[in-house]
Parts: sequence; C-alpha cells; structure tokens
Amino acid sequence: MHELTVAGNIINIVATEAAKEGSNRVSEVCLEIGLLAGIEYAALDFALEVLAPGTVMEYAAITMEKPGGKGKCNNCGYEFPFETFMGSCSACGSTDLAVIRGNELRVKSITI
Amino acid sequence: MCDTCGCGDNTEHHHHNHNDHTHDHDHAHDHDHDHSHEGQVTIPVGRDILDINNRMAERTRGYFEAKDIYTVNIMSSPGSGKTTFLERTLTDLKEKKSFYVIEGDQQTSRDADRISATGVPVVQVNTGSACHLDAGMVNRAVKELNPENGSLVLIENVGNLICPSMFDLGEKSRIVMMSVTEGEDKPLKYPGMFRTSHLCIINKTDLLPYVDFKVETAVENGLKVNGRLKFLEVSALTGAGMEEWYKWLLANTG
Repeated sequence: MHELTVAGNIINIVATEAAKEGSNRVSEVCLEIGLLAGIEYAALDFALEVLAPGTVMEYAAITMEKPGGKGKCNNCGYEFPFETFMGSCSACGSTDLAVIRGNELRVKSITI
Repeated sequence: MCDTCGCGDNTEHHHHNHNDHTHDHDHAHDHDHDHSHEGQVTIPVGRDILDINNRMAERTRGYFEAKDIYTVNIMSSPGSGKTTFLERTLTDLKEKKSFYVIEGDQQTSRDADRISATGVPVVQVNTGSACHLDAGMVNRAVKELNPENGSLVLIENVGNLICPSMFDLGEKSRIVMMSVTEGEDKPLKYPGMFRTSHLCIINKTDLLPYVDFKVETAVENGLKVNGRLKFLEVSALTGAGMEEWYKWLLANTG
C-alpha cells in the first residue's frame, strides 16, 4: 500500500505549487502515472479520496494520464512496446531490457 | 502585453484606480503564463512524486561515498530469513570489517535485539503504518549510527516484496532474498522488486530435499524480469554457500 505514501506526496507537491501562486485550493490536478510505475490505479484513487479532505485538493478533479510501457534492448538498441516487465528482445533475444517509457510518476499540472 | 490594463509593459506593475474601484491589484505572480485574471489558470508542475525521497536518498548516498561506506538494502517477503542471514554474516565477518545495521519493521525491536546480540551497532526503525523504509528514515538512522569511514551499512527492509522496491534509500546495492519454501514464480509475480535488484539470494537451501522448489526454474524466472540479476544459493542456518556471499560483499567494499 505504498499508494498511500504516493498520495500524500502528491498532496504535498500540489499544496507547495499552489502556495507559490498564492492559492490554497486547486480545481484540477493532472497526474502522469505510467503503466510500469508500480502503482495500482484503484488503490491510488482510494488513497487520494481518503487523504484529500481538509487539504488543498479537497475539491480538485483528478485526471490521470497513463502512458503505456516502452522498452529498449540494452544489447542491440531495438525499441518495442513493453507492458509486463517480462520477455526478451524480439530482435536479438537478449533479456537485458530497459524501460524507457511507462515508469512516469509525476504531478504534471495543477489548475487553480 | 499586460492582460489587465493592455499596456505594453510586461513587468510587474500596479493598476491604479481604473473602474473606480479601490481593491488591491498588487498580485505577486509573474505574467509569464497565459490566463485572464478572472478565469482559472493551469500551471505546469512536472515534479516527480517521489522527488523528496529521491533527493534525500541522494544526500545520504553522497555521505556514504564521501566516507567510503558500502551499503546494501536487503528486501524480501516476511519470513525469508533476512535476519538470520544478517546474524550469521555479522558473526562471521565482524572481525574483518566494521558493520552497522539498520533494521526496518512495522513494530517491535525484536530484530534489532537479535542483531545487537552479535555486538554490531544497530538502529531499529519502526515504520508504523508504512510498509517500507524511506530515505528520510534511513537518513535519520545513519546520523544516529554515525558509521566510521570504510565500513559497511546493511539495511534490512520491511518484509514486503512490493512497496520497498519503489523507495531509493541511498544504498549502493539492492539485494532481494527468496527462500525455497516460497514459489519459484516469485520473480514473475513481483517483477518490480526483482527488476531493481542487483543480487538475488536464494535462502534455506538446506530444505531443498523436502520442498518442491527447483533452483534452476527460480533463476530462469528471475532472468526473465532482469537479465542482469546475479544469484547466490545459501543456507543461513547451516552456513552453506555463505562463503560465496562474503566474497561478493567484500569484493564490493574494495
């Protein structure tokens, strides 16, 4: 249940950024949480719902962008869709694969 | 152009008395984002959600590097034998190197008491409701331990194969332990943990004759999610295979 920690961090970041603009309430928060970021989306939704009351995010609509996974072979450089962390490079067969997209874990923007 | 008064001055300035109202237009923000003063404004943030943890981890890592301290973060399910593994390691190596231990558990100091019995300095971190150690907890524990230059700091994370993998603690190496009483498919079920680890220790090999666990299958599964993962087979109880682990550990400490 690290989603609770993640949700707490999101609220802290939003509060800090809103305060820079002189605001203590945001109407929208856009998050970017990749499919390979290790986050269970439903658990994060739930954690935000639990933690938001009484904070800057109490009335905020949350939009979540969910970039799909993309891998790159460390051996031959081939790039391919990567959804499960598993498998081998379809070009050279290597299992030495890097994630180049899908592990995003970001607060993208806030609307105040 | 300023959105409020239409003048060509883009720098911050006051708008006095137009429309004959007297409220204060003294806003502090810049004019560099596109909005009207009445409507809502969307502000790009682009901050990593684990930013605070990652920065703290880098601070701790810098401290370790400066003092030539080698650190490992040991992670596994509850009951894989991390503490027994540490006890034997410390008993066998404490004369050769200076060790310090950080014990992470949700509650109690039972593990720290066991480590303390080996004579090695230990700090117990109780995470309370959290299911993992984070960089702030480790940073505070390290300050308390005040490890000497050239030593080793072994961090035993909370028993959990999911959450700890996301939190950089400032360690140099990550070790995931699995025991032969668990399934060979652990790497496939918990790929995040096995992907971010450098070494996988397969523990409790003394029980291999009694369980349906094939080491080759476990290794194969581990390599499916992390082609660079290294493996060692040990029994922390009998000591079998521990020499190989000591070689690995001491080779990394220089």
